[in-house]
Amino acid sequence: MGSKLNKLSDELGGRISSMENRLSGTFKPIKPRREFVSGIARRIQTIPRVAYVNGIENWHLIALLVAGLLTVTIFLTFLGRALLSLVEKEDTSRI
Amino acid sequence: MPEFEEQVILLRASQGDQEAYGLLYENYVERIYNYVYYRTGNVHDAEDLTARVFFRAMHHIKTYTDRGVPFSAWLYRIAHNLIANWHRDRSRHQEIPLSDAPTLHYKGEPPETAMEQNQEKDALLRLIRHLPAERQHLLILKFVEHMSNAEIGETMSRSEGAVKSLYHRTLLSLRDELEQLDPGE
Repeated sequence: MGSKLNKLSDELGGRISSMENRLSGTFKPIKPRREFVSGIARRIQTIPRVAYVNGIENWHLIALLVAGLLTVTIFLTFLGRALLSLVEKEDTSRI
Repeated sequence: MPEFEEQVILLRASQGDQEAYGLLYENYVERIYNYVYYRTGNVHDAEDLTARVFFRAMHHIKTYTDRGVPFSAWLYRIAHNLIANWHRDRSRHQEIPLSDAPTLHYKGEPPETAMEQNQEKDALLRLIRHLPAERQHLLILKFVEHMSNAEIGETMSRSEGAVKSLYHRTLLSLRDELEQLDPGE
């Protein structure tokens, strides 16, 4: 029984190592073309990504600015209307 | 590239530093290219898909989080997804043109022997490209990258034992398929 198992294990080991030999002869590291590698490297450096990323990162500031502008606009509208109604009141009191 | 240095570069790249991303690209382009080349079988698609892997990675690197697996695992996953789409888009697999096949040198052997050996290697590569993606990945990491089972395990998110077992099963099934093709082996 033991010798049969040993024989089977040796046989499997032999089959695996013969396949390993074949595969190491088949797979060879391939060098990509130099123009291809440098072309992609150039494109990576030239894509305007920093501005986009920074823009996204500054969204807090942009939101604050928009909210501030809206507040100022609303305040000015109310102030304008108040002044207008004061002027109208003065005009009617003269009559 | 030492692991600590790579982590610093990764952090800078994820904050939008293109120079840092360029360093990562230089460090990994050959590995990804080899992976894609052996999965697709031709230079043209290998170049196209490799470029797409790095552009996609560049657009998503902000969301990259270090979960203790190598950065290469993330790149291999992107490559795997793109290759899966590529296979889906094609009605049939493209075989390796002889001119594109890996350069093989057989010093001192007659040309007919070399041609025969090339044909054998082409047949083996064709068989490998019909294996499940995970097994192809394993063979490429083992025979092109010369990684240990532990390193492969880290990259493929598997235990060392699982890698070893998958490796043996893959070799035995390949051997069986080769024997079916050529019973004289």
